[in-house]
Amino acid sequence: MKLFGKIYFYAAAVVLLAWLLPWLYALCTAEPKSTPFTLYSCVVDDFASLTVDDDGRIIYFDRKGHHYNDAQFDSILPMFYYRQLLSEGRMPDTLRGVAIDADKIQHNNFNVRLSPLDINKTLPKLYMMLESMPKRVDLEEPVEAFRSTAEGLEFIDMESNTLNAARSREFTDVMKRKGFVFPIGRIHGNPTTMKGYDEGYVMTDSHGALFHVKQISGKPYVRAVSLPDSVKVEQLMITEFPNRRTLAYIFTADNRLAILDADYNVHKTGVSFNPYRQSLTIVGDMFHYTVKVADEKEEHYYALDASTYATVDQMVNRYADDSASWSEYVFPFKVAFTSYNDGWVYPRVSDFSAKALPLGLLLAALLFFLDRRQGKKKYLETLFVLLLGIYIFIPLVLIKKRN
Amino acid sequence: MNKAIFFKEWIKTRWYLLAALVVFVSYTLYLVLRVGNAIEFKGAAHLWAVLLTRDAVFIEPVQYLPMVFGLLLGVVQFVPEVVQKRLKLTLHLPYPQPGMVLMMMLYGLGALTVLSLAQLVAFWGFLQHYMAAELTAHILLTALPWYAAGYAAYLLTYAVCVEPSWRMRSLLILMGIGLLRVHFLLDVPQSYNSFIGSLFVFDLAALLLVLRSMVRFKEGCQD
Repeated sequence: MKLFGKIYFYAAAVVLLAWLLPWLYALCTAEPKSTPFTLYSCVVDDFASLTVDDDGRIIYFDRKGHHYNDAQFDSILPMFYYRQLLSEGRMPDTLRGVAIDADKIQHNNFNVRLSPLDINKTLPKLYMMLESMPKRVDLEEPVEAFRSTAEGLEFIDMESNTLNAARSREFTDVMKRKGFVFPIGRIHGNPTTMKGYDEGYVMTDSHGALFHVKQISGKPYVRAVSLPDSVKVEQLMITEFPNRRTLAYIFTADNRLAILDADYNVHKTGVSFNPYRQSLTIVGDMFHYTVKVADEKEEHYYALDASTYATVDQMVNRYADDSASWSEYVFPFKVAFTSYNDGWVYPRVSDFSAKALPLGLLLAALLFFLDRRQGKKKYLETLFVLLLGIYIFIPLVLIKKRN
Repeated sequence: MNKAIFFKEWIKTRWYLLAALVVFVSYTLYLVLRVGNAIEFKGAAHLWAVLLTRDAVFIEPVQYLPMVFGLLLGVVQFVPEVVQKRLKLTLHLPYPQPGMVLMMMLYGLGALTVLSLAQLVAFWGFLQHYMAAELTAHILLTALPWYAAGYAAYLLTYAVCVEPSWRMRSLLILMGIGLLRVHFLLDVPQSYNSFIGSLFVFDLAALLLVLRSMVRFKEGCQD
């Protein structure tokens, strides 16, 4: 029994130290990491960036090496800084041969941020259904939610927590008529009233076919979307931008971004994006979309033509390599329970480092020497110290009996 | 003999358990009233919307309650035994030592289980009137690591109390803080779903530490 207790003690100590020591090290050595703010300029047809130097000055530049002052920078990004240009009376009336004004710019501007945390978390499989064509101008708070079963949709009145059999049957019948095979596979909607209009949900059926489902005047609206063979839906994101040009973004199984436009055409873009481990930022205007795909190693920028969704330019910013860290010489591995990329807690062992073996060897020799001075030879302990290094050495030394 | 052990533990802890019962019932009533008021003023649909769109589960105020209960139960049950040197006598009774230790532990774990289950059932009974099964499960699954922390706190307190050496006792306290912290790492609902089973087993396995400390106590280990 004492042996099992000892094993539990050392196992818990190793896990906790492998979690807390690297965390403490990271906390003590953390440095701010900033990357330039970058947008594609429809004036110079290049990526334009701003960054802050060590003296706190803002530096504006493009990829070709041109430097700008702040007024020039506003001018080369007129779609983003249009209010500044308007206030100074410097706003052009046409750009790229298109007449522009503040309303038009505002109507076409949008930005999107999607992080892996938005997808990698457990949510109840219930979806509120808004009325997409309310009698009043503003959207109304939803009163029903639905769940998906193998037989169809089940609508629940949220106030009374009772099943609405009639509506369940109505939606299920229409969806089945349109070829939907239950249950739902992937689904995304944005059931909030804090938006200009509602497009309900985009969802796949159990065979991976894509559908658009919403409620119009209390009746189901169901539209099957034909997908090109090259597009297999992995995740979906409904857009509901003010200009209503797009309906949803499709993140494909081969890690590409495809755009479903309002006419139900699917445009597969050149943007490579894995929604489970990369974050996506899109700043769009009437000429271009600046798409940033970021992970822990780099930021990949794409400029897409806003009409055709073709890639017009791209560039990569790789973060400074900070792998020459002392931690890999000290810690043979690391344990983390959480991650910035998901909303789950479980132990994850990572960053195995053979470079920590010399320290393990040194500590093992030290322990062996200490034991030998006490007339003991503990080969198993020595072996554990060699493999688990500092994580097992600390508790062993702390509870070692003193002569 | 088992009955006698349970009776001895009951005598030691009855007032604490009564106080804990009052606190648990008060917390449960407070949360039921809080959610009830929100339903009354804003409607059940609003609560559904909050649950489906935000990282909130409404019963967050209860999160440290099982841990504090477990910790204090360990203190109430075992500090007098150690301080008044009764534990040594207990272990010399004509009864197997591991059995004695486990019976005392079983009493505490039983009390912890009864109060935790009663509170969870009360929450479930109330919530299922207003919310779909998915939402009730969403709330209760989020709360499971908080209740698991109660078991960890109790067993680690037990191990600390019976541990004879201050050096080892300090290490157990540090380990306990780390282990308890693992139960409260993320405020995202249902974030422990895949881990809660293993975590709970690991928590219960802390009884090995209790048995080890008990053997060390019997052997008269010192710093």
